[in-house]
Amino acid sequence: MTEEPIIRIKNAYKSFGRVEAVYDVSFDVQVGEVLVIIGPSGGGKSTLLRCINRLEVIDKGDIIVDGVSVANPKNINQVRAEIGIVFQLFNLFPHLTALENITLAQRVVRNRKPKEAEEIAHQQLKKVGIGEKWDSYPSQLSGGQKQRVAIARALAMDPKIMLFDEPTSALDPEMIKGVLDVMLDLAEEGMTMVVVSHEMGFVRAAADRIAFLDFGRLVELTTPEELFNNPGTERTQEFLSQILQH
Amino acid sequence: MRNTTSDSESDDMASRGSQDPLSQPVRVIPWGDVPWWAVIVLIVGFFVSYSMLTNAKYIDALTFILDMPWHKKALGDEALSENGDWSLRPMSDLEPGKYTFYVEFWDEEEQVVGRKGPYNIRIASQASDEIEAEPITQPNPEYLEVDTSRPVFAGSSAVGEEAVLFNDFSKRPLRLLLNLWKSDGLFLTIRVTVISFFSALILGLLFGLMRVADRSPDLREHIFWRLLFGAAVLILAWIFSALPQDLWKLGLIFVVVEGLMALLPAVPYTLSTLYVEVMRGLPMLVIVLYMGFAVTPALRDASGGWIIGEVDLRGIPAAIIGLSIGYGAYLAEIFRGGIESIPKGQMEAARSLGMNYFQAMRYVILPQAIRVILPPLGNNFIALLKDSSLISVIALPELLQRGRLWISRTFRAFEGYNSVAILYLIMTLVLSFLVRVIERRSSID
Ligand SMILES: Nc1ncnc2c1ncn2[C@@H]1O[C@H](COP(=O)(O)OP(=O)(O)OP(=O)(O)O)[C@@H](O)[C@H]1O
Ligand SMILES: [Mg+2]
Repeated sequence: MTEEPIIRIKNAYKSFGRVEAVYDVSFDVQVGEVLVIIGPSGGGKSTLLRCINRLEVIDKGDIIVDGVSVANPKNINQVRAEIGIVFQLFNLFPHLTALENITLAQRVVRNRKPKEAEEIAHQQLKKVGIGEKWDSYPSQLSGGQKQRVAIARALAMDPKIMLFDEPTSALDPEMIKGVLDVMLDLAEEGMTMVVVSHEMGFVRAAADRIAFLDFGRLVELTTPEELFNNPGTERTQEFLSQILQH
Repeated sequence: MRNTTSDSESDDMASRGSQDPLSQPVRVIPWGDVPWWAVIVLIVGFFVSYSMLTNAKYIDALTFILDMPWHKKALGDEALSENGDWSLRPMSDLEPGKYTFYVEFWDEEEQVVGRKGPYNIRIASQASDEIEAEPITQPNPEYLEVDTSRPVFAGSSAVGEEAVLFNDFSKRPLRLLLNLWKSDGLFLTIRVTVISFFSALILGLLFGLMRVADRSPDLREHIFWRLLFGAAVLILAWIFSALPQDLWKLGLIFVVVEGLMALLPAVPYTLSTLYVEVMRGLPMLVIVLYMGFAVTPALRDASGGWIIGEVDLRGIPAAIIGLSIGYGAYLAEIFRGGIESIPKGQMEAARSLGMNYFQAMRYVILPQAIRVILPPLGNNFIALLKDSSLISVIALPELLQRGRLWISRTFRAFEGYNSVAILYLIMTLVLSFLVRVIERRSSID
């Protein structure tokens, strides 16, 4: 690829007290690429993801998103508006309806007119398959519906990058497919995505590359074929055999 | 069935017996649905009305304490002429206008022995001479607009002391409201409480937000605060003592301050913690006395040479300032608790959508926190209402002070304090009922 990478992580370190959550991690993500991060619990996946939009500030190294250094940004809010993030526990605003959840940041950050923001919100809700739920409060939605509203909320900001932190791990099994389908569509449309997920179906179908994180270290970063057929390290093998048993 | 835990619920529970809906017993008391507060109102109301009906002094005490603007107002020195008419020398601060009043004559026992009037008088703008009050037995076209057909009770105290007059507001309701708001007694209490509460709200929100601010922020990002604080200390030091030739002292102070700032990484947090801890650690009475007798007189004396002229905040402003900074500390803690009760993920979600800190607070955190905050805010309003009685120590004629004044005149402590207590109770009971309604509302979803 000749293009500049849209995310460039250079020797990033992040520790919480004595815990090294991210340790000397470096990699690039190209425009349109879907990078999946896997690894054991506590491996530092969430922390790394949160460092990309500065929800956590790295101790050392640099992260450059779309040409702007996240470690030392002039205006972090501008950078963040270009990065959509979807959390494991949705983090919808409970005092707002689905529609208002999606229009709020559009109005406040993007300065869109209420009518325009609402149109976009309706479009996004239709796209994630719950167009009729626009008037419901989060407490009236199922887990899967909530997560889809969260995705729509992020997409309405027209982000260049989408980050997903285990978006399906808090969902009942029958809800998972709907959310994954939305993510697959998004990947097909060419969205740049960094996804923490252990849903092997999704990983096989969408991942361009897979990063394996353990103890904060980037153990392996290869294509899915390579990883599943020919894992480079013993640690990767062990972890894969554990999650593939199911 | 609700499962909130306020004490009213436990009463309901008790009267309905077991919690299990299947084994609910037959209701024995036919009026078991009467709310608990209605019973209190009934019992209290019975005693109150009984004693009031049998003891006319309550009316007198209440009217004095309420200081209703249509009631009494000292006119000035009066003199009874030999034929029973009288004249008076108006007080200099008497507002010009028309007044209608009766004069009552009391004996030693303060029983009404005679009544004259009604009289009409007009006070001109610079009235300083004696004014003849004219009886309106023959209607004078000049005063026809004054309604005197209504029964009016206003009287003078013992003959020769004070003339008291009645203001007729029946045709000017707005004027009445304005006068209510400005009157002493009950309405001074309400006024001080409301104003203090709103300024305490602003203080509380400000310091509450400062208390949830980051405690170990990046020092480079807070260079502005450090410089501001350092400059403020320098200016204060310069104002209060240092002479120009002591410049090296100023330099020393600056170094010390900057050193301290390096140790205190989070200025907003530290400042607000200091404020909250100091104010919560002081009795409200001390704060009020301090404001009334120390700070505001000193400010007045010191401010003589200032550009804006003398700043005199004694009296009611001092009381309001004292109560607001005292209660600001309590409210700051409530705001802090409310904000901290909102999960961290909400702030993160808002920030990751590109909102800045204040937008996230304004649109996401505070609207949610307000539901948690509202009931304790209401309770603090009630507490402030009660604590406003403390300002009687700086001689402000609020509810309690008026009561004590009445008692010192009549030596009837029971009627006086009963009236004071009843007025406070009426307000606090109504308010706590409202708080309970709010509580129920916010715990539904
Ligand atoms: N705010 C924090 N304070 C202290 N320690 C933290 C904090 N956040 C993460 N950690 C620690 O950092 C390490 C990495 O956590 P992280 O959440 O990134 O792991 P993860 O790979 O996402 O795990 P999981 O699969 O369970 O979500 C863990 O040991 C965790 O305890
Ligand atoms: Mg995680």
